Amino acid sequence: MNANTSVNSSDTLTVSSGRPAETRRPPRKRYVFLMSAPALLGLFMFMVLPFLMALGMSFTDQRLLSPNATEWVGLRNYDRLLNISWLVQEPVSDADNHLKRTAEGELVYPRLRSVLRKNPEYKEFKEFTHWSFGDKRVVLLAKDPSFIQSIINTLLFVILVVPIQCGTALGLALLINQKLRGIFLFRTVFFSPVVTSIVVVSIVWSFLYHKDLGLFNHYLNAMSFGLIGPVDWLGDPDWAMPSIVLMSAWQAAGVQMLIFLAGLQGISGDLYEAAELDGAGPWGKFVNVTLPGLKNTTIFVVISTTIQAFGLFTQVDVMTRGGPQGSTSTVMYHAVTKGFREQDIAYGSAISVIFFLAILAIALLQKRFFDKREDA
Amino acid sequence: MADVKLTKVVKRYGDVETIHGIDLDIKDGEFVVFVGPSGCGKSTLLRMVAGLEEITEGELHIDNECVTSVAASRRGVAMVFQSYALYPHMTVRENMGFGLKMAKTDKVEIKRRVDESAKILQLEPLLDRKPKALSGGQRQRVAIGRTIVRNPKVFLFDEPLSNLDAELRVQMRVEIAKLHSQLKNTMIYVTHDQVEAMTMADKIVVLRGGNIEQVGSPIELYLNPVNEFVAGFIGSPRMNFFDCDVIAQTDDSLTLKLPCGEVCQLAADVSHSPGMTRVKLGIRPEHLKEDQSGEIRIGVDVDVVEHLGGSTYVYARYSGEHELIIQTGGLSPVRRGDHCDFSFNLDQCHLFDCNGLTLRAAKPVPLHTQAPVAQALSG
Repeated sequence: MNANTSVNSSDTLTVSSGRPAETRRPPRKRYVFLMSAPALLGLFMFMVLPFLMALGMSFTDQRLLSPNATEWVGLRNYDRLLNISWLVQEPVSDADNHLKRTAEGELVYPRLRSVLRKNPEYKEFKEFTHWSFGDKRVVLLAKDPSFIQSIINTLLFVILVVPIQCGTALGLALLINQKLRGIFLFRTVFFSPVVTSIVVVSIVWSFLYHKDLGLFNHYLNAMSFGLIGPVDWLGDPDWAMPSIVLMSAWQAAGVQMLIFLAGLQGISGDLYEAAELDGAGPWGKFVNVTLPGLKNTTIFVVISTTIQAFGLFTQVDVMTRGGPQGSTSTVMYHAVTKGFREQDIAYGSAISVIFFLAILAIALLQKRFFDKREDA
Repeated sequence: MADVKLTKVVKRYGDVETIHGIDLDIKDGEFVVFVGPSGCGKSTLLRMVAGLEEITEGELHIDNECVTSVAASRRGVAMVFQSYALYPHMTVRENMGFGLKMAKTDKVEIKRRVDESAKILQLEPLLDRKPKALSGGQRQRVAIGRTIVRNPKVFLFDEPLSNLDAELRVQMRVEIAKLHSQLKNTMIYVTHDQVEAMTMADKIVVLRGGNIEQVGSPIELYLNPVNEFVAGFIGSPRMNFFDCDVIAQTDDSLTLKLPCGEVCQLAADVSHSPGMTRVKLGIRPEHLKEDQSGEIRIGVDVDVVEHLGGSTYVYARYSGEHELIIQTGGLSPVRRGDHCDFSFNLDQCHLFDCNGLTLRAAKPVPLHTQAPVAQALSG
């Protein structure tokens, strides 16, 4: 598209200068192609081709190391990934029609495994979770429950990290937008986690989160006069994801901070002065001038942070390896685990294709949103 | 309705002093224009009155109340910015009512006052639009409307017409003047355009380098500038100046040798500045005549001729080096490259000493021949 445009414009130029294009210069089109070839080649080799290979592999049963020949399996991998079902179980009752109860007084249901085995409809399904409705029990089934768990974990991460990270970034941007002496020092400090390797940050934060030796528990203990006991930040299923969220937001907020800072500096100072004369206090100015002025920036930051958050992998891999009890496993982590550690590359490919489509959908939504705004 | 009084007002940024102790009295209902070249401190002074800049030293009274350290929003002032400073996400109505909303005024009252101001400025059809959908002139009108709604004691204008095209500028100039006669509030207006200053002001304050050069009505400044700077700044095109040698000096007259060699005697009270060797003679372009009826004749080489229809500006050189502007009424037959004679009367000359201070001002032209003055004032 761009190449075409530039070719056209150069043609016009040549015509207007009255010089035939063929005689002096090599044709512009070939030049453009030649110049962009290295980048295009790289893009093709490392982005397009692997994706196409993954797409192809996702319809096979290819494994990384296997004596068997690869076979075409159609949509089996996708079926395994996305197929969800449920069944409703009645409680078991005895001969007198009394409901059976355990020693703890809980209702007894037929063993799920035998139910699933008996019914060919539920072949390959495993329990994901269950709820009770009155006496009945609803069991949610999935062919790969840990993938569903990973999706939920990833969504949870996104929902938690986006507001925290964007809020922190905006707060920091407001702070470093002050005209104070040495403010550049703060800019550097706030930005430094971004340029630090995420692996290093993860390892350092693993120490900070450590149940017995970690700084956080020491501070908590000291500040609560021993009332708040040591929390197993990364070992407790309830705390592991929030802990990763906190660290990730801290590590990545610097980038959004810079974008917000640019947005802030784009707001005319006159508007603040007008608001001051209109009697708006600091909060009034923030709500009526800063926030509306940052609307476009915020949309961009939120969407790009969301996309980035969906790709959560390194922190999980370094700090928790998806645990405890799968509470921090994410889509990306699951794809790598399945594809490389369990060597089921076809299944891993299917996961990454689904992931790609999800990200693409978000990117397209973003583009549509911005296009609409430009039209308005 | 309020007087504004500045007493020894100083502004310093660190060690740099930009406003050097200004004293100024603005009477209730006056339209005062701060005028001066870029960097003279006129905007800073206005912003100090507004409360957007801190007053380093000195005092500011509005309506006999000391407001030196009172917050901007409580001084009872409203300001129109050069950039309009309209809130982009609010409609015209919301923009105009924002100040009242911040003051927690009743919604019905806000609506009434916005409608009232919109009527004064004929903004009614635009009330539901956003600033983006307005033209420059309309935006400026909304910005003015926003100040009217608040019914301030003092209106402040910071170069409000600079972003408008020439025609709209003239139109808005008239509208602001009308508004002043209608509302009768005190207004302070900052501009670098002396035509705006001359046409709108009850009182002009000429500033240079953070000091007041002269305060007075437009005609007073035009007729009796206190120094060379004011003489050059007020009046368009600007006054012509020539260096002249002093041949002889008495207490009430000077004998000068003009650059062309001609010798003339001018009455001036120079008893306080004895022993001068050089003075500056100033003559306004509109006082140079194409005919030979003036007392002093000068021959010039014409460089450029600008025909404006109603008048003609002739840019010429006098005695080879002195640049000179002549304004003639109607269409002048003078052409580029011509060598021709112009003349002027000595009583229309200003005299300045070597420090630029006025030694004598021109005699006011009798009313029936004052046409060129009126023309100069109307821009």
